[in-house]
Parts: sequence; C-alpha cells; structure tokens
Amino acid sequence: MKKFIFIFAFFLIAAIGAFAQFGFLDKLNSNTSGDQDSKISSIKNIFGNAGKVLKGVSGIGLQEELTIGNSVAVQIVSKYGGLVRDEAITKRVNLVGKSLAYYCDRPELNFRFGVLNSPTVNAFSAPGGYVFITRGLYELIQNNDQLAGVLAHEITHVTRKHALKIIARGQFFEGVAGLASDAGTIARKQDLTRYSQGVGQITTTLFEKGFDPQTEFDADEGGFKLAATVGYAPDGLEQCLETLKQHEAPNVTIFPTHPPLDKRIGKLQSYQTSGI
Amino acid sequence: MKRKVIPFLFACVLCAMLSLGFESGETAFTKRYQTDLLKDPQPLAESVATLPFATGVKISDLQGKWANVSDGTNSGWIYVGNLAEEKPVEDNSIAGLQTSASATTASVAARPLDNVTSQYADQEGLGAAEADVKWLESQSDKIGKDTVVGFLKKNKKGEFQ
Repeated sequence: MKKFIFIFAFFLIAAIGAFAQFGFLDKLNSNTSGDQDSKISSIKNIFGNAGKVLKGVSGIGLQEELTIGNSVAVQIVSKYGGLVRDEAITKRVNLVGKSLAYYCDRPELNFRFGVLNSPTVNAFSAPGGYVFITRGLYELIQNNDQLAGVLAHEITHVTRKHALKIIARGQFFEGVAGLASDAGTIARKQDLTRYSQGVGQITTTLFEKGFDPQTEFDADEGGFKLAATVGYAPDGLEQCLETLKQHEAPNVTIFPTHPPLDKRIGKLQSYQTSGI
Repeated sequence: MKRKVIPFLFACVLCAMLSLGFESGETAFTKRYQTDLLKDPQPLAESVATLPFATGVKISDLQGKWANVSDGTNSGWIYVGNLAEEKPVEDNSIAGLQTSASATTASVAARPLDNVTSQYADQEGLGAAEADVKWLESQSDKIGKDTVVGFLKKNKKGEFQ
C-alpha cells in the first residue's frame, strides 16, 4: 500500500509539475532576446557592415549553423577517439534520438546521433543537429528512458543554440558567419584561419570549460520537457545521473564539463515537484 | 500482476494530465511546415485542414496530450508535441534547404559535409574524423521519417501514446 501511495504521489507531483513548467524558459528566452539583439546590433555597428546577413537570436543563419556544426562535429569525433562504427548501436541511438527530435522545437533540423569511442563519461552536441555520447556513458545507460534523457538534454542545447551564442559573443563572429554562409566556395586561407578560430571558441568551451551552469540547467529543463512530451519517463535523465553517481570514483570522470551530479539531480527533482 | 497494473494506470493518468502547460483559451503555434488539423484526437484521424508553419491557433479544449484548436476558419485536433507556445521564427535559409515542400516534417535536406568543413579538416589534420562523420551521416540518414514514425507507433510514443 505504501508503494501504491508513493507511486500515486510521484505521478501526481510529476503531472502538476509538467502543467506548470511548460514555456517558462521560452518566456525567459524571449525576455533575453532583446539583450541578445542589442548585442548583435552592436556587433553589426562595430564592423560597420550592414550588408552581412545577421539572423535569428544568435545572429547566425541556418546555412552558417550547419557549416559550423559540421566542423565542430569533426573536432568532437577527433578529440574523443573516433566513432564506434557499430551499426546496431548507432541505429538504436538514432531511433531514440530521432523520436525525440521529431517533436523538438526545431523539427526542420536533420539530427544525427553517434557514439564516441572513448571510455570517459560525457555527451556533446554540435550546432545544426549532431549529438554524441561517449562509449563510457552508453555502456552505463540502462534503458531507453535514460538514453532519451541524455539525448533530449543535448537536443535542447542545439534547439536553443547554446553553442552558437558563444560565437555570437566572440570577436570572430563576422569571419565565421561570413565564411560559413558561403559553404560551397573555396575559402581563402586567411578566412579559413578566422573560421578555425571561431570553431575553436566552441570546441574550447565544449571540451575544457563546458557551458556555464545556467545553460546546462536550461538544457536539463528543456530535455526533461521534451522527453515527457514524447512519452519517455520524465525522470530518465535523473535515473541516469543517479546511476552515474554510483560509478563516481577519484579516477573516473563523470560529465567533467557539466555541473556536479548532485546539483543536476536536485534541479531535475525540483522540475518535477515545483514545475520549475 | 497488481504490481504492474497500478503503475501502468498512474502512468496513463500522468499522460492524460500532461498537456504540458497549454490551457483552453490560449494561443499556440504550429511548428512544422505542414500540420494536419484532425477530426478526432487520434493520429490516424481524418484531416480537416492543413495548416502552414507558425500558424496561430486558439485552444478550446484539451484531452490528455491533444488540443482542440481553431485557426479562425477550421477547428480540429493537434497533438501538443506538434505545437509551440511561442511563435517559431522561420529562418530564411530553410526554404532553400527544403527537399520537398510537401514533406510533413521540415527536415533539412541530407547534407554531406560541406566544402568549408573539408578544407577545415584538411588544415587541422582531421581526415580520419571527417571520414567517421561521413560514416555517421550515411548510417543516420538510413533512418528516415517513415522509420521514425514506425518506431513511435511500435513503442507507443509521441502522438501514438
């Protein structure tokens, strides 16, 4: 009976939470978009080049995003031991990932999901729709709900353009966006150098610093919401993080570029109980 | 048996309650290039009308994860996973990348690694990684929309819950 009451309470709390939370951060984003737009406007003025295409929240259009994403994906794969070229594993990750992406906020993107051949425990995404998890993480994931929780978090990084905002804030913005928009042309060497620096800004953040904690919590919240919408367990990511916590040890690095597991678990629990 | 049935029932209750924040009287927006307005709150129900990208619709009723909406001319049902609370912004570039305007999902065309990335990979000595990403593209692109919808149906996900 106690178990019954617990289960009832869990679902009731989760349902109340889901009612309340949807759209909160979208509104927050729309509030901050004004600041972002003014930053983009400033960049535009500094460069004095009104003819360049500045689009969207991050100021980078879709073609530029896809090109930059391709390059970031290549860097991620190189840094983390190449891809696990196992068709069955790749198919599973893509089926779960694409079932989430089908209902994400940017269904126009063609998402691709891969497993990196690295024993570390981490996950990454690149602009335009590339999502990677390491072999170390894949092997610890116990079911599709947990896998969906992890992938939904990374999908949210893409749909909310978290990585692109790093470039938009940086001094290499103009070179990167300009070059990437001409993806079919042969790049001049100096342009390619500027482009490499811009891509480097993203990969440095991804590999060394990680996103700031608020951005990671934003992705946790968006992923929680997406997984619940599609019908995966809303606590899939939380389950996964709890599993990973059991494997934490001094010589094992778990999500090194993300906030501490306890903080993330606490936040995820609060999404369910308070509706964010 | 009881152990399995009770959680299942409450999962159903949860699903029924998970309208994910949409409320009657609110305006929501379509987020695909084409969204079918359905006669009944079922994925295979008859289509009453087809709405274009970013159409504003007023919600008049909610049944679980299905919203009864009207665009001012027609009314019908849309799965909440196909609606956005905020009006989506269309990127001008999307039109040029569409494979088919009639596609119900607006997936960007399969895009092989571009020339800039190939040059970048050459410059950075990332040829092996570039080959891996191309392999991933080939594997991932085998899983098209029909396969994804089949997976959703089989696993009772999305609008097939």
